Amino acid sequence: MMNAITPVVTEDSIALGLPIDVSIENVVKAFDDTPALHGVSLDVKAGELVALLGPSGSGKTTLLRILAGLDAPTSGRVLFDGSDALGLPVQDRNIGFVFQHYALFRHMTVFDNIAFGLTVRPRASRPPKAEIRKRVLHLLDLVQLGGLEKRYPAQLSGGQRQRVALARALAIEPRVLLLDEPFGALDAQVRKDLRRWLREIHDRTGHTTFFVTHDQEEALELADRVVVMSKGRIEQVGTADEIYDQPASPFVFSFIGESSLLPVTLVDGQIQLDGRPVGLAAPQGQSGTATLGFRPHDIAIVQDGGPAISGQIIAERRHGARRRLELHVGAEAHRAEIDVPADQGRQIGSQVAFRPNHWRIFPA
Amino acid sequence: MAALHIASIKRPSVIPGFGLALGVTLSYLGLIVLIPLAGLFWRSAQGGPAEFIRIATDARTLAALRLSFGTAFIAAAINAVFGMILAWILVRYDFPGRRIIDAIVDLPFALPTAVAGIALTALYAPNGWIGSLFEPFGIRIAYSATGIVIALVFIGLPFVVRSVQPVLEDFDREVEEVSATLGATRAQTVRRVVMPTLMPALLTGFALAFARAVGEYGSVIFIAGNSPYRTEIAPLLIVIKLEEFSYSGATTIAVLMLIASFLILLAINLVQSWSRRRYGDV
Repeated sequence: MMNAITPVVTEDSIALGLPIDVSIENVVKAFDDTPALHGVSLDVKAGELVALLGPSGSGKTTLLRILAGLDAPTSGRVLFDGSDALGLPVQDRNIGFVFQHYALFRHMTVFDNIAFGLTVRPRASRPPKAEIRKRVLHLLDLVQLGGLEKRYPAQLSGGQRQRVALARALAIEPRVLLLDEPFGALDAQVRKDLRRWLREIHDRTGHTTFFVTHDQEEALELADRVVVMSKGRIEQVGTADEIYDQPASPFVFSFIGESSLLPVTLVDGQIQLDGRPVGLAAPQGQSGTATLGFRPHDIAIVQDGGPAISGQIIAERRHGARRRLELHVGAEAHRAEIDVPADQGRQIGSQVAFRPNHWRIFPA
Repeated sequence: MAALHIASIKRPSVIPGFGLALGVTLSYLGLIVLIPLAGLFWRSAQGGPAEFIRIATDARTLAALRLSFGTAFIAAAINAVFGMILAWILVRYDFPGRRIIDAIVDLPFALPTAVAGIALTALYAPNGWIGSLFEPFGIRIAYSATGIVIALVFIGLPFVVRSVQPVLEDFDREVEEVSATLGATRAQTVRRVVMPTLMPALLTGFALAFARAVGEYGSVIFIAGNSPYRTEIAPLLIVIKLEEFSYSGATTIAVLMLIASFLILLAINLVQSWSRRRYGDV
């Protein structure tokens, strides 16, 4: 198994190709008439580390495969540094692709796996044997597997296999690095180590990198920008702070972090639930039905009988340092969750009133 | 001593009945395989070493053995190539009638071999549909080693297809995709990534087809022509020896076939277990 990973800084950094800009313009992909991507556009700057985040079926892996050339879009354009990439077959696109389940060549040693991309080149552009050897050993050091070059994939742990897969992808000096749920098959602890380690590798090699994940924590921690996807559309693109603090849609709000959403109406500058004001001001100039979103931990209990959201406690459980209450709110018993201090246990079935400290209104 | 030995193999396990299972297995193997083979060896030794060597080095015996193993090897090799292609097509492509072709592959198993032999002879004989096409060029298919190979290819076909097919079905498409992203051409991917993975299964199929072909009798005797020194296979020579009441002659040839087959199959098995140890399961 892996030990905690410490950064290895080597002086002679190998040439890894210059990072490039990637432009995705209105890409549509239809599988048997069911669209998997509805017109996705995204500009990524050279050297950026971008996370494609979304639930399964959101189209994030499809987008990644289109970038790689493993799938062709129904329409749209993909530009690498301003020139068309879709015309290039996968072999000539020069991208490094890492699969969730490693996809190592199990009949080859670690060394041969990493060297594969170099040894399949036409003789004219193939580096000499000594040069290949030097580069593979260097990459093995980079992924901290020095000394394991003679092993077979079956003799490695999951985390080690994924690092071999990454070294293999880096060996061809890719223009873009594409990682499809790279840590999805690994233990929680190994995931955390590899996440930090991947960030370090990226800081040193500087590839334009896309990685697909459904783990928001991974995306927010690792990426320069997060692309939140749902049902074949991009919901929002932004930094971790932007995604978390200014979610563009109820989907992003509920997908990122913990949240509760309640249907409300905006009347006379007030937010109303079931026709009663809850003590929160509506955004200026908005009225009609809307969705109120708030975070469970970011609320205040109201005990003075003033306007508030009230609900019946249907369950409670310990949640880290706090205690989480599950509520049925309003006449239609909408589900909501709030946190209270751990020592303030409450009776199941009793009523509780609260107001969010921070909240967001998404017009219907 | 034996009890001690068994006790040392036996370990506490959640799967009970090791002793019983081993006992049943050994008795069964003994009854079905080992006792008849031991009888064979015993009978062949009865004539004494001089007699054994005389029959074993007889030109007719050697010619028959060479023909049997040679044609079996060629047929197994042909089956390895075309069985591989057939398995590939059945797994990788979807076309109307795929299920039917899949079922047809097993027909050589089901058909009585004599029927196959007669059918093939009718086709490939000098006056048959296919044989008559080759006859003007002086190429004789039936009543020659070529005819024997054709019969052996026919009966050995299912082995390679059925051993390669499941492995190919389980083959991870992502491994091929990653190979392409690394710049490998399709041919390079097949040669360096797919084929090595299929090799153990292909070897199994080859070994089975070969073993089956070496012992094949029913279909071959119709198409071979059975002329001594030329198209007489070893199993037929055994039958001929029996008809001449030369039991030591028959058993000697049988023992030679047995030893040769065993050595070849053992070698193939060793190659396989070596590759399995090396690649393991990923």
